Amino acid sequence: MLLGSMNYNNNTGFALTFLLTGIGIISIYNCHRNLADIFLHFVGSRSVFAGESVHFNFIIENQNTYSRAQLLFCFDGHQEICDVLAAGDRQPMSVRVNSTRRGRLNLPRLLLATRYPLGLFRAWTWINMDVTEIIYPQPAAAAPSTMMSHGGHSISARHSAGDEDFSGLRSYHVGDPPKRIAWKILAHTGETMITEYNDGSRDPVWVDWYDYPSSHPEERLSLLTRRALDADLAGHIWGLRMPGQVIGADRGAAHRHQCLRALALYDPGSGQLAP
Amino acid sequence: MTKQRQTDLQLRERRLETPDISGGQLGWLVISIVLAGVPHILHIHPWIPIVVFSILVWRIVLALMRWPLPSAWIRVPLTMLGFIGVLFSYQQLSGLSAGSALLLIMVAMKLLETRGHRDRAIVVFICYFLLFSMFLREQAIWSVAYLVISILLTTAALIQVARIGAVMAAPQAMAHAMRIVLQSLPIALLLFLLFPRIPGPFWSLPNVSGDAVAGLANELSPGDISQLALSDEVAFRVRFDAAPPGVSALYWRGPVMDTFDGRKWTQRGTQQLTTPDRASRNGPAISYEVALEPHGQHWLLALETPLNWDARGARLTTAGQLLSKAPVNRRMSYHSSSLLGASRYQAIDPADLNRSRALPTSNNLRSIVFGQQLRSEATSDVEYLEKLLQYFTGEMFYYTLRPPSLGADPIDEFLFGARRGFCGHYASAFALLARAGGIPARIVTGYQGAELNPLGNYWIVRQSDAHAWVEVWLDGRWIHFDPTASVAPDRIEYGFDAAMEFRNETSGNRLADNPLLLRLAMSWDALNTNWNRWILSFGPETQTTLMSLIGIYDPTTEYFIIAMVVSITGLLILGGSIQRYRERPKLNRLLTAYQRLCRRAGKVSRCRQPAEGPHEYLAAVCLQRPDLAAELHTLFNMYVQLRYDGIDDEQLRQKFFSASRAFRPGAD
Repeated sequence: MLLGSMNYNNNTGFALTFLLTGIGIISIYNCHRNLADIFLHFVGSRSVFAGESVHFNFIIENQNTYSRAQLLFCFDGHQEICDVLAAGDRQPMSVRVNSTRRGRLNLPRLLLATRYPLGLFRAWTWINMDVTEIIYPQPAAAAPSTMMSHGGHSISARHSAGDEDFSGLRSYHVGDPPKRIAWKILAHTGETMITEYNDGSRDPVWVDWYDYPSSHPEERLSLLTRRALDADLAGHIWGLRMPGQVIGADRGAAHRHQCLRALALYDPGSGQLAP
Repeated sequence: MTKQRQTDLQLRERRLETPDISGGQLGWLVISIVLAGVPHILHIHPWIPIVVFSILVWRIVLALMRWPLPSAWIRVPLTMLGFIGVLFSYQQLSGLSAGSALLLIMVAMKLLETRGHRDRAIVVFICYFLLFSMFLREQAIWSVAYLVISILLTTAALIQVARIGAVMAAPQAMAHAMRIVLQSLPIALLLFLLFPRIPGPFWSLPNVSGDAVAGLANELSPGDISQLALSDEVAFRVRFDAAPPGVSALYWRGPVMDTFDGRKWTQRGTQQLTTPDRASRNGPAISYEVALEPHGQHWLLALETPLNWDARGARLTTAGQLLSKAPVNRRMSYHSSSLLGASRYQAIDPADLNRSRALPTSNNLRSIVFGQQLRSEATSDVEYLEKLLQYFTGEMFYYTLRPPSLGADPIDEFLFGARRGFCGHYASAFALLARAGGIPARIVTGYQGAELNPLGNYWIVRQSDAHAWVEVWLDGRWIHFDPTASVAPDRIEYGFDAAMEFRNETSGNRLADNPLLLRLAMSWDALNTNWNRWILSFGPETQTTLMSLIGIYDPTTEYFIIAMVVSITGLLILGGSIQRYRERPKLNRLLTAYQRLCRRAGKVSRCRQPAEGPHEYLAAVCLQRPDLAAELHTLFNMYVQLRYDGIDDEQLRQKFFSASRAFRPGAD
């Protein structure tokens, strides 16, 4: 177009050519402006079992006084588009990463890019956040049927025992099932007590590495995970016995996470927890 | 992450970013193609718009019915057919018409394979180019208005096709496009003013309009100027610096013809140069600015006799012609000043005089004999010339634009037969008779008169004002004679219109009868003139003038490039910084204001410790300066509310900004 304008000495042609040049230059600036000063806050994520997807949750925030458009997040072949982010607005954004194996999962490097406004230029930035999530081992399909338990009880045996035999009260721990709260006592004294039954639940269930001496370490971990989950679901007090570490019997979400974390990070080579 | 992995991710991102075209995007592309095609419709073979339209409809139907796009087996032969069709219709692929036809077909075909963003963007780029090529045909103001709208819509289309997901609403897209176009205007303006212009052309100009460029010719045979006389086209426009002379004195001098073969006058004069004889001026010079329409020839028009001119490279020949360096292929304007009246030049070429005496030897003999006889009856050359003029007045000569055609002895037939003709006939006859009497004579063609445009305060000279007159050599100088004036004095006195025998002989485009239409036409012409004057005739000369305004004389190309790069970069940095400052994050503004507040408070009491919160610091300052306590309490409260209480109140924010800015505590 420039050559044409020069050849024909066509001033309107020049004007149009230069206008388009200007549009091109300005779109570089606008592209950068669309991406600049974006804040990305990591909110959190939750541990999952291997094979499931971890959701890393973010808040994307525009503190400036103009709105953004067409922000694109890319990670590991997925993309999320944030079409409009108004001035001063914040929006949740979730990065879903598939986990393949137990252990630690690092948040992959994120690409935040935009081609707004004209698609001629692309502004991008790599986001490298030091965010890690624990991936629990994949639980085995079913709990092992008859397994030796160093704690004395097998899980299957415990299921047959009745829940009727009242044995006393103890104080509430986080994670106790609500149906065991002694509501009457709570109403009278204001103290949250848990009814205990003489069904063996007071005796800790031990999820033990040495129950499965012959299995491949990963299979072993997988079976242990299943057992731990079953014990947790049934509301038992349970503990974990691993080479190099023992987690005392307890219950509740924190305990569950602690045990599953130990299973997730177990390093069969050294027989220790992975760093 | 390894490099490989990164590239991999980017590639995948790119693929993900460009899903197939959405319905809305298709709509925008179709609009762009139609906008780009419309200006060309009348200039290309009629089958092309039909084909393009059919392809567009086909594509829309495919999208509506969700049918798959045609495969390459259909697209490639269709494209080939388009090529062959254009080649067959135009015998070429490169000219303006053939090129735009081909591009139109190709852009429509491209719509059948819009797979990714790249394909869609290409469609938009071709549309831009088609719009550009419109300007090679047409540069009038209306075309600019059309172009502005089209560029906005096409840019909006570019925004839309770059989007992932749904398209924006049309008004929103237009607003975005408008903002981008407005932002790019300053850059475009700087580029326009500063981009080094090279006097073109690189390759020969095609005949864009298809018509010959109107204007004066290199030769004159009695009857020629009649075609011009029927044309209302503007030859040039003039703005006088002071009061203009009367219309009858406005002889715009063009090509001078001094060789006559009995049938036509031609220019044989050497292009020897001269300078005007400034010493013998006998009156005040008139200065004026001419905006000349392109006519493809070298001559520049000026009032007789030009003294000064600022057209670069222009020169004056001994025949009194002002010639430009290069053919006038675009509108150009120049300042000139002239001395009305006889031609006076310092250098006289004797060869000019000899040529101006020569008589045809084999035709028009009756006229020559008549002239010689008349001369022998007269006592002097002057008396002879007066007799000639009386002859034209006394005999029954008529002025008409529809003279009978003349044969082998045109002057004989005119003088002793038809006696009907216009300026070309009278000037030819007069010059021949003068030569028969032994007086050197030559024909000057040009324009006579002008029409005032009161709205623009300038004068329009049209092709219909073309005129021919005679110069004879008397007492060592060329004297101006206009025999047509003897026959039809009105023709000279009031311009061409008033002298017409039959008004309907002209093309009828003149609007003199209707004052409202005349006014409209005049305003339109005034607008056009300013457009021509400021935009279309912008060139290397104007650029140089512009640079001299900022103190750079005789700039080289490097100057322009440096000025261009520096000014555009500066503009971007400045504009970008201002915008970024104004749009800075709210929290930053809040923190800046708070820090300034603490700094000012620190000057009169003690500085805030890094770990000190607003409450602690406020207490500390108030202890030292109880007089400031009330004011500081208000200020710190506002800050705490905005910063920590999550109050997002714009009014409060502004209040805090202005109050903290106004806080200037005096020393104790």
